[in-house]
Amino acid sequence: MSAEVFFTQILNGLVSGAMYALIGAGVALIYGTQRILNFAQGEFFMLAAFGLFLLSTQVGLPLVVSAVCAVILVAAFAALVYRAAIQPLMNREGWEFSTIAVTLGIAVLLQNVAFLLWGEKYQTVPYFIDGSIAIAGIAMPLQRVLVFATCVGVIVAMTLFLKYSRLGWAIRATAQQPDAAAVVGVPVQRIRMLTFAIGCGLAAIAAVVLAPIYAVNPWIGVPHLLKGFVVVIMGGIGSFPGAILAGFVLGIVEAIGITLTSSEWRDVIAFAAVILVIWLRPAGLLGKS
Amino acid sequence: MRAPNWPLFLVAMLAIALLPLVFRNGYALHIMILALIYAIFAQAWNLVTGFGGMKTFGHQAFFGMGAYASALLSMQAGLSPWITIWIAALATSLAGVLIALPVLRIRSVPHIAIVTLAFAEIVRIIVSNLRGITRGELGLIGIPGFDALTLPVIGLVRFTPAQKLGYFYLAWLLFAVVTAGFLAARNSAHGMRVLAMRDGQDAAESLGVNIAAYKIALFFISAFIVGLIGAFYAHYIIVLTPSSVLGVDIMVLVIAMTLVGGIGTVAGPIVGAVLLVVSVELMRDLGQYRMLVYGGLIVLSVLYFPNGLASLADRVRPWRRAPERSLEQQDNQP
Amino acid sequence: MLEVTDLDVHYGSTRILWNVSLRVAPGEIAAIMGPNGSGKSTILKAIVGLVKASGGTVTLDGATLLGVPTHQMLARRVGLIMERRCLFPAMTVMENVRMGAFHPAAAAGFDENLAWVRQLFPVIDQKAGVAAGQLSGGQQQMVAIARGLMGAPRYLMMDEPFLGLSPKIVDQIAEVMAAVKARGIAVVFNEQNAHLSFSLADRGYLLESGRIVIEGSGMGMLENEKIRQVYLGVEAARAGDGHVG
Repeated sequence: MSAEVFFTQILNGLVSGAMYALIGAGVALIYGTQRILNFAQGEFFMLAAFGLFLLSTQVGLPLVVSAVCAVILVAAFAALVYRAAIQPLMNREGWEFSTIAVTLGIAVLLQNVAFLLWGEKYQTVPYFIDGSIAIAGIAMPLQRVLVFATCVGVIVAMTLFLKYSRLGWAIRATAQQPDAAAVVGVPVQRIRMLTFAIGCGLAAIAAVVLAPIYAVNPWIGVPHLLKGFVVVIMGGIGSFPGAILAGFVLGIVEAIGITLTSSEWRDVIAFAAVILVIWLRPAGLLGKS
Repeated sequence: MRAPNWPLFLVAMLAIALLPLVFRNGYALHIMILALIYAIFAQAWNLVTGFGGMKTFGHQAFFGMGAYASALLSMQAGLSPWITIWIAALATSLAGVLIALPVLRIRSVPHIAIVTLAFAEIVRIIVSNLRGITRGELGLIGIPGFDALTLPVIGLVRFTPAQKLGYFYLAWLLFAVVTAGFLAARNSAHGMRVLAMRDGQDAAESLGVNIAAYKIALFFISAFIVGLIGAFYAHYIIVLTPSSVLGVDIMVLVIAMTLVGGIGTVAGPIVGAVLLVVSVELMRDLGQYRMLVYGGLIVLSVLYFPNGLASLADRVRPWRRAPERSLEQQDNQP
Repeated sequence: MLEVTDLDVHYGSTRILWNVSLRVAPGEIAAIMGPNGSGKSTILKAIVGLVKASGGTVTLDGATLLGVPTHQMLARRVGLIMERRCLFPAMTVMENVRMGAFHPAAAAGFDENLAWVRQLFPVIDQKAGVAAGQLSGGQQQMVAIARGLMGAPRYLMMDEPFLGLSPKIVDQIAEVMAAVKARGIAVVFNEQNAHLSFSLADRGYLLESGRIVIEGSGMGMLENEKIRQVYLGVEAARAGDGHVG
């Protein structure tokens, strides 16, 4: 591998790593606060991408406005889904399985509704910014730079939000000790709904910046969901910083791995790594087992 | 503990055996065969998930492995499908043991879900990528059907796409054996220990139940049954693609059936499979809505009908006992 | 006046509390004493709504508390200090303390209360940036009490505040309780040790198998014949063991 190819792959790995980190962070946030493994995460990703496509090309809103609207709409819809289909399960016996089953059902439902409404054809969304810049002599399309910047920016903002804002404290307190949080005045149910909406919103943000690169169809959410799971397992399920680190590691390892083997085996390696991690270090690569 | 109702079982089996007298056309037989295949598949998934309490989402891997293994063995080694289905089932059950190993170490529902799903995705991608052997998504074609048999009294039985009666009775036989096995095991000492394990691993362990051995055994048996029925499916349907036998859709179908019928009961998966296969086929014109219906049914049954239709029978017949709950579970109320 | 009348609680089909009645006046300390598993904690949790009552009433100055969501209890100035394991383990000590004043009702006295708890518990400043989960048991109990006080309650429930602590720390926390009372905050706490319970309390209750069997003034409880024989007699024989949880 020449130095230039290697460096290009590192750059590509950083971009997809940022994306994996953001998607994984959403999964980890929801799992970390309420032990829900959200199988519908990928479909909120897909809906946001379609939202961007429809608002920008069909309604004719400016791209950036469409993107913001799509994210807000998806987060609001996620809150609704939580209230209607997940919250009623949380006090029942066996909720760990029933929340997985219900989100799986919702995922299948949303995929097929999207298929019936908008068809299977790949829809394209224009780039937010055209052109490219040279980084150390390697040309990077600006859209990819935007993906990286957005994902990193959102992750940083999210970390600061959790650490310093009143709402962030409420989310962390609810995650760690829901009864104690209620006693000090945190409306636990509402915070959980909000956390679910934010977690899905993170997927939606990833979706809108990626849509111009990958195009849009009803099934695009599935691989992202699986990648999100890979990332949260590697990082220690429910750990927000763990998911972020694992996202970048996965992105770079994959990018370099592709140049060594062929790309069709990429996911096999990722999934096998997940099984090994769960087998040998169930608390994640960084966690204490 | 209620003993299994064997007379009812025999009557039901006889009734199913007589169905082809009423529905004789090939299409009706095809639906009935599919219903039996899914009824077996759902029962085997329910064994691990409903009875064993290990919530797996990767049983489509066993179905596809059984199907591809038997198909490839019969095509490449020239063995009779009558032999290859058993080899395939055995190989699949070994894969089941393999995936049981990481599951042994973890109790967390999400971890088990992800391990099993990741395993199934690995199998699907491998089968898709080994195009030299499986032809990938182009599909494996030319899979032989079962060799014709000459049976006493009945005479020659053929297994071809045009003659489905043999397939039907073979599926019926498998279904009868599997169901009888579950009915008997449900009330045996082993069955009790499995339920005790599901309801409280620590308590069961302290009573001397060998948790690891039971978990491995459940995966072994379940994977064997699913592999066998997958192999049967291959020699019945004759064309295989990775997405048709290894996709997550298959798992969604089986989950929907089991939840609609009632998870953790013997009758539930059977009722669910028959109901869903038949009703979805009746709405054949709505074929594109099929997955929509399954997704919706999962959501509705989890939310509003968590014990499935099998619990309805208990409501209609109030003198029947509610599903047994162990002491451990009652003690663990908040 | 916080009054509990004929409170019943069921967990599933198991009954935990039977017609429990008790009251505490402003600025008083009430102790619920009872053996392990008698349902002491359940009373406190039912008062703040963490456990659902199946019968009876809970009123504060005549207004009902049953049905008020737990997160609105501080609006009624009713606080609960749960067992110390209920700190937010991954948040720092200072975050835990400040989190105690999350409810808007606690905002007014925030600075004053923070200064007070820092003075009561020097550990807050010593370990301000340490994750609460890393502290020793006694330190955690102090942070838990500080967090509870930050909610500016007028009625403070304390669930097993002395459980598993060394005699020295037990004394410290008893002093804190007196300081809390001196501020005009009423306290209801539960405890297994009869002498500790009733020597601190203005009003005492003995709970056995979910029923209040004896009640009276703290002094009166210490002099009660049954309590002397069954609960204090046992302790006399174990004198010198120190306090064990």
